[in-house]
Amino acid sequence: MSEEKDLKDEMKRLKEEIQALKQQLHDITDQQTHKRRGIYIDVNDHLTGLSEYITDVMEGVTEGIRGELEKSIFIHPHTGHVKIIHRDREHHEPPEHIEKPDFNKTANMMSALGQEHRLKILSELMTGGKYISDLQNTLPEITASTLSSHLDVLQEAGLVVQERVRGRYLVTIPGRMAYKMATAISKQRDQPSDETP
Amino acid sequence: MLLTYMKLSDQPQKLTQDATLLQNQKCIVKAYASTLTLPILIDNTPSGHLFIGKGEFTIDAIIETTRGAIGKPITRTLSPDKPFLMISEAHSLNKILTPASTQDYSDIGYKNKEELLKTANSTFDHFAHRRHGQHDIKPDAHIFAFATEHDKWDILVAKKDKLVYTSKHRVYVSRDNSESVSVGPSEILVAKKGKAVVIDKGNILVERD
Repeated sequence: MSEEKDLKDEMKRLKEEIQALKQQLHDITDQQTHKRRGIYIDVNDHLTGLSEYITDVMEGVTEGIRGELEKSIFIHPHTGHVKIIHRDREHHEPPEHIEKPDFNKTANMMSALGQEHRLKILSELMTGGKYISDLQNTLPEITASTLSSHLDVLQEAGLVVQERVRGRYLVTIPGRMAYKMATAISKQRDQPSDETP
Repeated sequence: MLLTYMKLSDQPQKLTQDATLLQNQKCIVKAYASTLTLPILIDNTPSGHLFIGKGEFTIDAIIETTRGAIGKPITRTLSPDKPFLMISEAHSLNKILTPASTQDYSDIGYKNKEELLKTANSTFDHFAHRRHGQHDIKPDAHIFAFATEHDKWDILVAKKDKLVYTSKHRVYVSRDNSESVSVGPSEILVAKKGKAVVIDKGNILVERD
């Protein structure tokens, strides 16, 4: 009799354990179902930590972006125009290592450019070699003697070369580069300013 | 023409006016009035002149590219102390030549005919040394040899609009104004119909149409 009673008690205990396990399984399944629906959030355990983590990450990213922007964007002090500076990421020489030109030679070349008529002459020559008579026809506002004088200055500066046999004037590689540089600067300067009312 | 035997005449003549000995799109060679000449005979046929006097030559060793012109003219002034030669069948100066006088010798710094001939023969022998032989010279070609201070010769060969120029510091070749090669102390330029390769002071520029 006692053995039968022990077996019945044991079965009862097992049934209770099975019931407890079923309840646990139900609870777990229910939690997973709510998680999938986006309802389950353990605010106390997770939200505070997640918020701090996101804040730290965003602060780091913001600092990085600010640093890159300061190095890569130039804002013109007068016009307010923004220029993106494309830097060679592998080449970070400080400004004092920039090659210095022969300032006298460079100044002479820039001086030759710094005259409206000479820029007009260069502009005409950019399309190909021309005789002085061609230049006189296309630039009637410049007298013959002045035109000749300007061509001498441009030749002296190495911006123009004259063929001695045929007499044509040709713009040199430095001359073409100088003209393009001058026009590019002029265009940049003439762009409308955001600060202008 | 087969170049078999060259010799220099011993009858100096004088240019009565400036003469353009050669001109094409890329070069020009001039001898000025009062320059004395001695005919060069090839197989006893007048085939050129040795000049002692003043003149100049210019070669536009300029190459045009789409990025701009490169090079510059080569100009040299010719003086009585540096005689020069022209071998050509295409050019006749007979109409502007007259027999030279004693005054003509002294005008260019020579005492007399003998002194002039001595200089002329010495120059000619130096040029002609090892140049006797069989050389084919085209009828419309010009060959110039300009004596230099280095006891060498600057040579210019031209035929219509083709030319080759060699000097101590430069070689320049131009063909019909569309193909050019220039080799100098610090640069090499090659251009052909809008395409160009330029090697200049360590920089290399390659461009196409």
